[in-house]
Amino acid sequence: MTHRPSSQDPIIGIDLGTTNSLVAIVKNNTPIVLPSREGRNLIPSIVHYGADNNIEVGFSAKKRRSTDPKNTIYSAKRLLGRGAADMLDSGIEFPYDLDLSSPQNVQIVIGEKKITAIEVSAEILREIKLAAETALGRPVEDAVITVPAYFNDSQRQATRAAGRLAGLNVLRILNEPTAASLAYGLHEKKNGLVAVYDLGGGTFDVSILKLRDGLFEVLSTAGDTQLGGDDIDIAIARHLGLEADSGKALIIAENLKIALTTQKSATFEGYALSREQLETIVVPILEKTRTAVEQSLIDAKIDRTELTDVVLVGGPTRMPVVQQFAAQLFGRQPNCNLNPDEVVALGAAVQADILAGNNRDFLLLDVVPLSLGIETMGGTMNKLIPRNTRIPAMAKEQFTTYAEGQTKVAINVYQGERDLVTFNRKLGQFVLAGIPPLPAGLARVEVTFLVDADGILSVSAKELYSEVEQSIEVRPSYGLTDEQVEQMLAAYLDNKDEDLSVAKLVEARNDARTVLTATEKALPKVADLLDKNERINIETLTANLRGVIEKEDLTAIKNAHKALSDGTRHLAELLIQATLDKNFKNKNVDGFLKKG
Amino acid sequence: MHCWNCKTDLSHQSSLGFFACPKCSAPDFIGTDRSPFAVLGAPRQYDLDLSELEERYLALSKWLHPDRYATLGNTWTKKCGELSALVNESYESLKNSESRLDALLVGSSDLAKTNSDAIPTRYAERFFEMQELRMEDAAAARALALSLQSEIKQEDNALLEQIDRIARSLNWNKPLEKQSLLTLMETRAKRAYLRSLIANLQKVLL
Repeated sequence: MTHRPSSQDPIIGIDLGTTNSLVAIVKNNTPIVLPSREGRNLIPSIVHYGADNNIEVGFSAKKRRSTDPKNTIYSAKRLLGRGAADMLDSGIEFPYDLDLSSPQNVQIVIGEKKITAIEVSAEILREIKLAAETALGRPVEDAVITVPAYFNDSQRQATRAAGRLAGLNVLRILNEPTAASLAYGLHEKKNGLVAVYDLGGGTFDVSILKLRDGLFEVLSTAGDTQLGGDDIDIAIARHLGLEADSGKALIIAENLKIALTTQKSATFEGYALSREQLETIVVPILEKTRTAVEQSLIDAKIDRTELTDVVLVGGPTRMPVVQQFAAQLFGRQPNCNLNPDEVVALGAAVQADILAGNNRDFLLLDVVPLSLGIETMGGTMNKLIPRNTRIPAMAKEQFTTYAEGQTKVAINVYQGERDLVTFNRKLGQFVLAGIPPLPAGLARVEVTFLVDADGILSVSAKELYSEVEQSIEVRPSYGLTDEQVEQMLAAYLDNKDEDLSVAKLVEARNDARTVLTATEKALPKVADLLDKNERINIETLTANLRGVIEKEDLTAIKNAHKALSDGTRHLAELLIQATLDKNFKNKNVDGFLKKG
Repeated sequence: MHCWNCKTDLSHQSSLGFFACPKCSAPDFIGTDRSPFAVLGAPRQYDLDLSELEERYLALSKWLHPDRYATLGNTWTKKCGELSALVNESYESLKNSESRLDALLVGSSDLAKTNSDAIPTRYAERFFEMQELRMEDAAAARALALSLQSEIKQEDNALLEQIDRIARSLNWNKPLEKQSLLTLMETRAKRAYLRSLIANLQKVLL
């Protein structure tokens, strides 16, 4: 699909968070967060699946957490692009039911139905799209969506699939700490070496960047995709002796945690906690970030004393204990000038503005977070693209046949840092078919691995011996295939026409309001020139439009709008005439006065 | 050869390397030499002005990065993504001296078959002594490992200087003289061996 965004189309920046999601856009060179349809700056990343397919997203869904925990899906981002084995390893527990029977895809059980985290994320993104369309008063299609820098290929692909499923054209998958650095760069206008410490709801990233005259070079990134504020809540719940996987316990934990950001001690629903107690609970969790921070500095080949700033990102970094920990880790006070909840969305909007061609001063040079490689003899990992390689990145490797007349070569692709492939994430198996039958070792297949600016891998292959430029495009198969996403999207569009038309509704309402305002301003000016019937007719048409404008009926709004436009044609003519007459009269008067 | 975007005939294009199509400004790379030196327009030598190299890299990135062409559709971003990848790969290989030497040696390494006798065995013997000593006297083994490691590091540094000296003196634009190539390859093989020893000692010391 070829898509050409133009500077007229708004491109939104979306922070699809574990806990909360935000949407932002650049207006007059300044990124701003757009309000949700609930009138807030953020949308809780929670989806409630009610009876009769009634789906709620955001604060209304969050309220269901304690009353209907089985059908209230939160932290779906922790399941995105993950297989059953990943989940068993991680040991995370949710109040809702998971089906781990399919190794490729974790499924969430909602009553009789099973859904994937991609579908849950798509519901959140749909709500975000609607929020942006409502706020901007026009349809929105193009988007930049952020992901944790340490997300692997399948998690990135899953995020892109969710965007597609929500009817978005995902122009870029952007790393969250990198996004934050863009917002930081725009705000602080400083050059230097910056560390971004991003502790989100469910993931931790650290990135080291070199900022210089609008150029944002990521030197290294490291992290943990199963570490975040959620773990702090679970630890607090356990400390209080509560069942950590019950929705209620986590609400109590979250409220105490937030209260202790500003207070020395807090009580919620009979449970008390002091800041000192909180610190002893939190520090062991924060300790897990130390290795990643040290690794990122080593990979960037810098000493922490060379850093010129440390930026904190993510809701949990509001906690004083996290700020102290980061200060001690980096040996300097962190920069708290930016809102840690909004900075990623604002940065995504800045990147959207760059992609729209509006910002020619900024350019982002990012890296691949995890090594990409193939399985070789004895199950060892042959790294073709090492971690922290600048993207877009390319690597070529030649393969040969080992049997006479062999026409196929199977290649297993992995992502991860371990020397043995079994400890790394398998991205997929590529079968290179159609090799001409030749003696063993004669056929040579050149495989090209390309990691695009989204950090997503694609593989193509060429058979060299036969000199046939037979190039095949292969994509890893896990999560959902492109075809599955398109099928789901088509099914969704069949069932939910009205959702799409919300954008059109918003647009129609705005157009109607413009006509209403114009008519109401004009009517008194030429009232004397209209005959009584005509005047009553216009007033009736205005009332009609006013009556339907807030209704959910697109056709009614459009019809009433057209009727008023037709009915005011004479009025418009009179108005023009009146303006001309007025100018003409004034001139006459002037002339007369001069003469006299 | 034709422009990938507007199909303009480019057979009169005289300069090699990156260029913009005179008609539609679409960037591309011309020439069969896709070595990192050709890609970055750097002289084919061991000693490079690294700040000049970085300037060149950043200028090319600013021009070719797919983000600059997002409004033009997928064909442009894919093509410019590939050109950017070529620039990134080339800069990666030239920015440190070891991979730069690798790039210079591409195609020549078959000429020199490394003589495995050149690898010093005396360190290996002492390494195994140290391993045996660990069972009896851990502290003494540790002291031995430390002194052995610093000794190997010293020799490794001396070898590195030797490689630098040879690599600088060679004319990389002509076919290499077999003897100096052989010395270079042997010295590198020695270094690789010494460094694996250093890494193994490090594991013991941790």
